[in-house]
Amino acid sequence: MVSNNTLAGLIVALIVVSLVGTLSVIKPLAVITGFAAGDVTTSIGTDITITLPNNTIDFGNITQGTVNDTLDNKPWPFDVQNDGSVRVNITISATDLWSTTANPTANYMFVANKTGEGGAGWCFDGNASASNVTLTNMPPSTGKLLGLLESNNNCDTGEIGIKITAPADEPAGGKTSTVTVTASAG
Amino acid sequence: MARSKAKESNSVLAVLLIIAAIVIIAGLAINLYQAAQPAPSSAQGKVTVTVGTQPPVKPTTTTGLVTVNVVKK
Repeated sequence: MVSNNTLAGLIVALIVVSLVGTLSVIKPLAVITGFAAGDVTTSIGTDITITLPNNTIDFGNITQGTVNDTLDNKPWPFDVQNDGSVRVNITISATDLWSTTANPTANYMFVANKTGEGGAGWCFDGNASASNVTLTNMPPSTGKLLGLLESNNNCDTGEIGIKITAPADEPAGGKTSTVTVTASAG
Repeated sequence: MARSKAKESNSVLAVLLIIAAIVIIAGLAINLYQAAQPAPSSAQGKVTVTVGTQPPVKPTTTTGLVTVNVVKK
């Protein structure tokens, strides 16, 4: 026969065990669970991509011995845009426009200029040492166009102005020159 | 006298049993309540981006056209 004192002791032990068990499994409400922390590291590779959003300049009719250019935006000049991830240096070359005068010639010139992008600032290095910001005879092979064209979408374009002077003895008819611009990491 | 003492002991036992039952039921209720609560979640991390500067990429080229029609004087 179990005495009442033994039963009371057992019940007290039961209460203690139950309390300890309950308190030990209660989650503190103030502590945030599901907490996760970590580092993510990613690398963006060098991407060199340029485009000419406006890739054709059509001067229309021009009389022998006369001049036309894109400096008045008529016709619209080339715009070169940096679509890559790094600043680029850009060179220019072109095939001959005239049959009577080969490149480089003062009858066919180019100039690097700023666009409206970037406000009053330049999206590339406008110093003469980096960019041809004065009219220059179009080279038949690689010639400096502009340096350090930014890749930031807010300011990543430069303008390529063209000035032509039809030679006095140039035969009448349609003339075409292919302009090649090449970008490399700046 | 002995019967009176036994009654007293039984009363103490009954109180202890009631307390034990309350403690167990309360613990069970708390655990059930917490199990039903969605755990708050939070995440924290750091993102590091490295833009490559090595130029293993070959130069990119694009072309445009200049056209004109020459007319005789």
